[in-house]
Amino acid sequence: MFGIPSEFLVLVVAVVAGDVFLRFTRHGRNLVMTGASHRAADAAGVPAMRSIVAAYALAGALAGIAGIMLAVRYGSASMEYGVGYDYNAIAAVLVGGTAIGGGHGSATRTLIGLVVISAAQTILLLRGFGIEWQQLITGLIVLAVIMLQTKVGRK
Amino acid sequence: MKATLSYILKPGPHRPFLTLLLCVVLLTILDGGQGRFLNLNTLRSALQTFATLAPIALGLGAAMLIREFDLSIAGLFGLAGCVAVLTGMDAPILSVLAAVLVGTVVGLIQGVVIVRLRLGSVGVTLGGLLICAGLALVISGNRIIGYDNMDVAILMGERMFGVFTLRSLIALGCVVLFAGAFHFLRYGRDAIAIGSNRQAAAATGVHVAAITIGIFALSGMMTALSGSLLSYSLASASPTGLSDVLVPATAAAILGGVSLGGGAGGPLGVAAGVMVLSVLRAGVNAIGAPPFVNDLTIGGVLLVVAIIDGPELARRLAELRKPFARPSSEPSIGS
Repeated sequence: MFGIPSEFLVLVVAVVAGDVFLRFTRHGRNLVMTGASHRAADAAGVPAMRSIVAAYALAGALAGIAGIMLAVRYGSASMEYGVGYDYNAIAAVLVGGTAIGGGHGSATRTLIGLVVISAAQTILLLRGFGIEWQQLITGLIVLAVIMLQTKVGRK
Repeated sequence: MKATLSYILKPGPHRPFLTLLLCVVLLTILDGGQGRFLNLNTLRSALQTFATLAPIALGLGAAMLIREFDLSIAGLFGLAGCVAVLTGMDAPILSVLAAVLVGTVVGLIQGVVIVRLRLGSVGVTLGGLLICAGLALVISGNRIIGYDNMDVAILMGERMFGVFTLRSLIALGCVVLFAGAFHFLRYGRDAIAIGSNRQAAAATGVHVAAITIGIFALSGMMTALSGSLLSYSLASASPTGLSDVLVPATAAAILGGVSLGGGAGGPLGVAAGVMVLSVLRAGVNAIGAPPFVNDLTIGGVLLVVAIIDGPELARRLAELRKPFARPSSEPSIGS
């Protein structure tokens, strides 16, 4: 479509839908509040249990969409295709600055984390470093971002 | 009958051993009297899995006990194998020590970062995981490295006392050491105190920082030991192929009664949890079921244990029933 891979369009739609959901819908706000404080959410009448079930269901659905896109790209399916995406996905979320303790984060942030990690990996590849350096650099970025965050939080 | 059932279901130090017993009984019944399961070969095979998994699960279990988590073991496992194989042509013992040193240093650094900067362990050890896996790929050149010192590989495979090998004896030694330190020194109580309530533990004079750093160092040490010994026994090291230990080790710790919320569990339980996984793996193979049945069984057992382990199961079930039972409740997904 206009020379843009359809997978990219899926990503854009997912990010926009994710942020609209988190920011402007009741269920999205409930989800953020549940993450910020489960007990406070319960006390405020937010169905925290339902938010948690919904979060896992969403994670499963999105992973399913990613799996379909991989299968379409390769024209086949295998248990091995997803290997390596798991840790990189967590890394992107962390680099984007979503709090691992919950209650803080957005889809746009994760997109930025994703761009940082994939840009670093692509640049390395173009400069002639092998695949083996990509993981090392990703790890260093994750560690650096996390350590920077603590300084920001403490001032 | 009801009393027995609630005793079995109740989480406690006896539960991992009951799970083990139930699995053995179940596999014996599935075998149907053909003698494929209850024999020494199954035990030997189970002990080989135990030898790889037990040290890692002990270290990870200790981290979970103080309410931390160590993701880096998945990367460190492969890295230690590569270090041991790349350096270990002439002096295998020295290079195992080198690999263990690498693991300990990685664990120490992570522990110091977590304690000094007050960071969550999941993020820091995820960084550690990616860095270790990357390092393993870099030093091995993204290839499987062969180990030509066949004497060592043969020694690793040699049977001792009928069912053991050098690796499984070392793993059992680790279990004994951990259990001793846990039950007879103050480290066990200190760790449980930290896992239950960090501030309270610090207030009563527990050296929270030192113990946390020590446990991460220990976890790295155990992982490196297991990784380097496995590489010797396979006579090769692979930077990626051997990294699938994190999930089984976590499963073993949970089956062994270590709660993800911290403050509950012990080394003997973890050892029993590892044995459950090992016996299931060996047993499912022995009775001739296809390999994927193994994953399904382990997943099923883990799910049952995790559900039973949830605090106040009955209350939670009642709570769960409440919002879903209302006929007017709208679906909360996909708005």
